[in-house]
Amino acid sequence: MIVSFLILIWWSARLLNKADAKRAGVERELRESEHNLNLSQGVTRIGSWGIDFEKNQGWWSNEAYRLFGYEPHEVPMTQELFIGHVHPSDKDMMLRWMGDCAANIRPPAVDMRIIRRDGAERIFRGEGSAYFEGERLLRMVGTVQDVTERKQAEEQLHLQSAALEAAADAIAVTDKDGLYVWVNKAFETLTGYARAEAIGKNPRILKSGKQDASFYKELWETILSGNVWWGKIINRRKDGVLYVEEQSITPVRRSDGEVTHFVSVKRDISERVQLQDQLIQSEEKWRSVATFAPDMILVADTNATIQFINHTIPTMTVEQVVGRSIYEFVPEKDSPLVRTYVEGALSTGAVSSYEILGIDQLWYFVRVGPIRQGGEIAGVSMIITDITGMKRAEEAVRRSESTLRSFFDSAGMLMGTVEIHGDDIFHISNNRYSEEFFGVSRGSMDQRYAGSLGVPREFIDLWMRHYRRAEETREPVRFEYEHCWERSNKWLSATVSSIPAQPDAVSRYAFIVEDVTAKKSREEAIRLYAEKLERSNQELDQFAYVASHDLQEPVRTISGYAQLLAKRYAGKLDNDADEFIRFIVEGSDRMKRLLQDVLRLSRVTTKAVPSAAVNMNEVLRAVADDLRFSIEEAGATLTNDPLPEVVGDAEQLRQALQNLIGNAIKFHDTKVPVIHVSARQEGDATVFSVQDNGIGIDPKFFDRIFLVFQRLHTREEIPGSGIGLALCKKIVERHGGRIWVESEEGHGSTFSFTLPHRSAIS
Amino acid sequence: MMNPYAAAKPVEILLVEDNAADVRLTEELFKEGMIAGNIRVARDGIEAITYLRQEREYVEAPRPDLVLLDLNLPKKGGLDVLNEIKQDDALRSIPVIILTTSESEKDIAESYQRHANCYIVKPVDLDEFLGAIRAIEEFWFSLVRLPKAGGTGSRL
Repeated sequence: MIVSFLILIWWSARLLNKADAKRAGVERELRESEHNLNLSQGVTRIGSWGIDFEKNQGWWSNEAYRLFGYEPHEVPMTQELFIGHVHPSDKDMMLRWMGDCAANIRPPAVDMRIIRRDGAERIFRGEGSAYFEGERLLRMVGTVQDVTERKQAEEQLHLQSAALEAAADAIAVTDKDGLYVWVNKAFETLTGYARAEAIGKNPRILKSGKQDASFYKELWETILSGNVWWGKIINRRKDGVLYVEEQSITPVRRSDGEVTHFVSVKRDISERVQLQDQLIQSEEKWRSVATFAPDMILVADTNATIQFINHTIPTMTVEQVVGRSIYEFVPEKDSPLVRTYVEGALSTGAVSSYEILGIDQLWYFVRVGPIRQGGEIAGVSMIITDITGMKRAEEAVRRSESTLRSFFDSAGMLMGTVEIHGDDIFHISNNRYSEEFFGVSRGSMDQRYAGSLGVPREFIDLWMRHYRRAEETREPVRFEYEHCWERSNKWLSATVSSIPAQPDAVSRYAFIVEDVTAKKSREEAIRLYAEKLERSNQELDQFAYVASHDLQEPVRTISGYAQLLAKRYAGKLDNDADEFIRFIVEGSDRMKRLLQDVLRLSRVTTKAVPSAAVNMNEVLRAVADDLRFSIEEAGATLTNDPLPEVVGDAEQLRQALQNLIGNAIKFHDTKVPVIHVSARQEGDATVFSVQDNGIGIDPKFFDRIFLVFQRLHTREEIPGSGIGLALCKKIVERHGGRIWVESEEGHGSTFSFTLPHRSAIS
Repeated sequence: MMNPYAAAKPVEILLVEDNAADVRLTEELFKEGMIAGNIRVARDGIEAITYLRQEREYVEAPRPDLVLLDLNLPKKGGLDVLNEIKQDDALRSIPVIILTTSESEKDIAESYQRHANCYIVKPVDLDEFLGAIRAIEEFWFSLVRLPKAGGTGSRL
């Protein structure tokens, strides 16, 4: 349009030149034409110019003058005037352009900076054409216009476009039908679709299916009603990967208000979402860790006001604690201490810990440390561990240790632990008694060698042997020896054991030693005493035997002569003499019997220990035979169970049984004696019993009747020396048994005695 | 019942007993007995051997027909005396009756081992003792035939 307009101008000018001849007639036309041109130039604000190289004259249209800041034709237009207005930096470019024109190269329009007459810098666009006659340049004509505003607008548009293109956020423009008309580089990166692929397509290409129809409906309703939609959409890239974008869709309205386009700005927030998710998860994780942590975890702000606590002591709720000061939960006396630690954490970031007896009377271990946010201390955290159990266990251990220690130290025995170092015994710990034994001061025996304590070499070797044996057998080893050294001689009874340890640890042993010197000498005294007693008993038996035996001689003499007297002189002397002689005879007779009894009694033990098998049935038969006359005389009934075989002295057992059965026959009242002999097994022994229906015995005499020469009846009532049961007792005890009686006066008696089984006598 | 030889020649008995009372009692009981006899008494073992070997004051002593020997004797015990008698060819034929209070099995066994002719435990009761004496008389002096005095065992 501009070009055709210029041609028109040029044509008019040419016409002007050709009409020299008809100047007068044409001038009016020309003025009119010029006037029209100026008018049109005034409207379009395009000036025109021309240079006549033949005349070396130039001209500007009115508008051209005005563009340069002049009144029309105020000054003659020259090349110099024009060049003088070109910005110095653009002059070369301008001249080159002119040169191009002059060289008949049709250059494009040129934009140059012009300094106007008033000094304002503007951008002018010039166009021009050159006219030749053959090779000769005749003139140039062209147009000029001020494009400053347009240029600036273009510049801005370009900048904006570059900015949009370079924006980090993906930007897409769709038409009102929703088809892409433009997308930027970031869009390509975000979606994976190249611009060429995207344009003309519907944004549906990004649909992931993660949003339902109502989501899109709301979106469309928003933007179609002219509002901005903002939200998050999960979309699918070209390669199928899902991503989260934050998107705003802005409707673009035409000046008449109608929506023509939509601009959507979208940003991939997958990472941010992920980070947020991670943050939430992390928060949840720590919260649940805190919840499940057995410890109390507390967070307080810089004023020591509790912001968070995972759980509290059973008597309080979390709500009761949060919002209150830490110090409210500290016993008053500990408050200054806790304050020091909390303030230390807040002011210097110091981490500290302490133990405290809480208001709930439980022991806590508390760690205090700062909470930092961006390098600043933003609060304080506490981890509070209930250590009551540990405290109590510690106390129990301490108590148990001190209990053991007091046992250890108060024991009247040597106790301690040792290790074997080379060929010496190294004492680790020793109780007080050990120190007293060695005559060293308290504690000075620990970490010392037995050799340095004065223990002779041979005993060190002896002990080491036993320690090693205890270790090999894993059993305590006992030994006893006479510990002879410079101090004194002591009999020691020792027990050593090896203390279980890790395989690579140095073996350690425990020792317990009893000083049995006193016990030994007591034992020795007892042994000597027993020996003496045994000898004394033997001597006594021997004495009884010898005495009774030797006494028999004189008694026999007395008895013999008394009888002789009675025999020869009865009735020849007076009555008194007869009676006296009778007393002598009777007395000496009794004495003879007593002596015989004592002799029998002493013979029970002076004879060798019995060891033959004895059939008690035969023994009983022999007894019954011996007592036949007594039995018949008393009309007694003697029955028996089958009796077992025993080990012993048949003759003595016969004596015992005979005495018991003899007594049963003898001690009866008006009833006819009924006697039963039985036997039963009881443990390791056989119990023989002789049961009668006789006069019985008052229980108060049960012990006495077994003593020698004890009688319950006068000789006149029932004859006897009182030796029978004593003899029975001695015989039974000699056989390793015991004898006893069960009876009630008037209701018979049962005498029982035990005899050990054959195997029980070695 | 009288011993047919009693009247002819009184029997010679050597009683070896240290207890005078027992000696007398024995003598008294023999008096009550049936036979006439001379009871000679040796008060200890040495004396008994001296008597039997007719040494010293006993050179003229008659050879006894029977020896009643107690075991419990001073100087030389009864068993030793018995031993010497029974190892002596001249004395061996004289019957030796052990008459003692000892009831010891050991004494009994040892006596017979040394060839005692019999062993009698001195009864404690007088009547029993008398019975024993009478039994001795009856057995040794009426039932049994003894060698003549000085027979095979007589010294040259």
